[in-house]
Amino acid sequence: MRETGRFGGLLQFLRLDHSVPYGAAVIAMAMVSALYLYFQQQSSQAEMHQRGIALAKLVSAYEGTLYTALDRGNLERLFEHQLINSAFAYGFIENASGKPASRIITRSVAAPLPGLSGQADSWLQSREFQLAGETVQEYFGPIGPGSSATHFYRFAYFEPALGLNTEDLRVGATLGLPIFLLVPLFLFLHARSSRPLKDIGDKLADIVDGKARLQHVEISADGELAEFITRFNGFVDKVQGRLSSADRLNRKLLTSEKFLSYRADRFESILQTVPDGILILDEDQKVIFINQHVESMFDVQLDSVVSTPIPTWCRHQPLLDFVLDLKSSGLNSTNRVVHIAHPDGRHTLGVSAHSLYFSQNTAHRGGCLILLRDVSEEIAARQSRVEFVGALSHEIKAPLNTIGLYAQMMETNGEDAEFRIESHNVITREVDRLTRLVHSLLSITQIEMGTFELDAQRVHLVDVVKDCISIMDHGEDRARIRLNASDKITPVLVDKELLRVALSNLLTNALKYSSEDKPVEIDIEESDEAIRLAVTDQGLGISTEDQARIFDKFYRSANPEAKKKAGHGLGLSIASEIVKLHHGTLSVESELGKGSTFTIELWKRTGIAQRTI
Amino acid sequence: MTLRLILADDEAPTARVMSLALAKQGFEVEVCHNGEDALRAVLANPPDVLITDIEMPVMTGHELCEQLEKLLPDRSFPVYVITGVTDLVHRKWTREIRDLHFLEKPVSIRRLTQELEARLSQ
Repeated sequence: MRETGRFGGLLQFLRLDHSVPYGAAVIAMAMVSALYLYFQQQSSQAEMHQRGIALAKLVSAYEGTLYTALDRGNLERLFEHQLINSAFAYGFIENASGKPASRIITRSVAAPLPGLSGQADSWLQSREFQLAGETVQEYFGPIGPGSSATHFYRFAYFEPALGLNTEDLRVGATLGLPIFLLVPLFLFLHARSSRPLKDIGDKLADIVDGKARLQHVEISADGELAEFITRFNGFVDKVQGRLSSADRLNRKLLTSEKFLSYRADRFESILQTVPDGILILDEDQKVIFINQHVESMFDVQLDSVVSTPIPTWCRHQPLLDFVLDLKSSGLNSTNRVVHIAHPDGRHTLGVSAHSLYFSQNTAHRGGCLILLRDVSEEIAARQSRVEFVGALSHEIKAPLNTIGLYAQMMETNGEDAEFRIESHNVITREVDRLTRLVHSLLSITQIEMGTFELDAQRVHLVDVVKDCISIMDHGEDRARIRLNASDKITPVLVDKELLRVALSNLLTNALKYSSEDKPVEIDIEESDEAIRLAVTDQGLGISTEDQARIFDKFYRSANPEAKKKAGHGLGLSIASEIVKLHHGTLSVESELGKGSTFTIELWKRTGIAQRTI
Repeated sequence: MTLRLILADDEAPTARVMSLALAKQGFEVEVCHNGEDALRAVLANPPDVLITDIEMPVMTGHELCEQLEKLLPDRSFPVYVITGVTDLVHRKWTREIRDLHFLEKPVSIRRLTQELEARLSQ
């Protein structure tokens, strides 16, 4: 229901249905007509009565004389004369014994008339009775002196009836027409006088419907309406004042609410964006907030855990122990990172607690913030570094040891010419080995730091491969390598030395992780866009889990067979970095127990351009 | 009486020059190039001293020592482990092995000889 409903009655009144005045006019006309007819009847009756009295006076003028034939004739004529009046019912003379002593003068009455029965003692009496369905008024009295009268007169008139005759209609129309004509006049006047009211009504309706805003009603009027408009405008002023102050307040509230929610949103999004798990507890160790990382770690939702103690939703004992320890020892041990198991059982969490101060007063501690950071990679990296340093230390000290031992032997065995030559050869070779290692280390560092500059030359990949094979230490290794490549492969723009390192790492792995009687295949293929170089062995193979990590630095497979082989987990990492420097890809396909294929894909010039776009 | 020594090292030049130096000092030296060979040699004929590198193919020095601990619980000869790694983390396992000593690379033949003579004369 719209708001206009409340004002419906008023508006209805102001608009005024035209059937009402017309109905009223008809009723008024009916009432006027009824009154007219009533007075008409009354006056007819009075007229009849006067006529009756006048006639009775005439008839009774015969007083003092005897009733004669002449009198009878005169009276009869007198009555006959009355017949011009349509209301005259009858007239005649009756003797004392109640018999007519004259002709009964009448136009229509034939019925027997009721007798007088000796009541006619006054000169004029009248009575009313029904005669043949009509009411008649009879006048009667003695002729001559009352006590000695021998004859009586009787005449009667029909009672005037209610009813319209043409005369009445004319009168009615004359009366009704002006009344009827008054209606449009009244309506016109009403419309004129109620126009300001109607305008006000329309404007109110527009305001209520929202088509117009609340404003003064500017309508010229006078009298009470003018006063009403003035008061109404005063009311509008007051309402507008209230509305605008409410509006100001509302805007103020909205602004501060927006500001607050913006701040809250911003803080929450900051807490959600932090890459670590965040768990905020109040002073009673009930949850105030957890971010998405904690939600997924413990498979809970913030809404369901807020204001609850941790043990109600967390079943992870290491965290419970940590929080319990926090409670008993207070937060004195803040910032100390404790390593606990991750709920997934695979990772390690570094957990630390930090006091929260919610006011300027630092003595008012408001709970604590617990940071849960996945430190698995840090631990793994630290472990890898330790292993790397170990491996590196071994790689450096092994040649040093050999050199040192030969030097010591030269002291006592220097005279032996053969030994001197051997010493020279071994020391030279070990120095070369050390130099290569240092170069390799420098290369890794440069690649990692992004300071390495490619010395790009257009070379045949086949040549690089052949070169790589030829500098291998052991003849038996060289013999296991099969190269399948066409000599017509397009030369590619690469850093020859770097690519040789990458290739050498792949070949060394292929030889190392497959048995000595199994060949290692190198296939070089060319397509429109790229050149693919695949190194395939029939060795241990790499598990799917390991495949995801073998290009990580320091990573070594946990496979016990693979662990038997020396290595420091850098070869594939270096190879991968080198291929990336050439905008190429290094991928692996492998099956445990069957062997592996490492594929270097180098884009030809166009290939690089297309990929760059 | 000549003292018998088994030397396990995969680095051929190192093994050769060490065996040469030790032979010059009067030891009888048997050279093996990996842990497995060394274990076989030890089990076949226990030496007076076992000197082994750690990083070796097939069977590392670490595994060799564990095998010895298992297979020869009342071994009487000392084991010398040649190591280039000084980090204690890498030496943790050696605590489980009885009568184990370290030889830091680069090895000094003179110091090794003195140590061996002192120990074996006891």
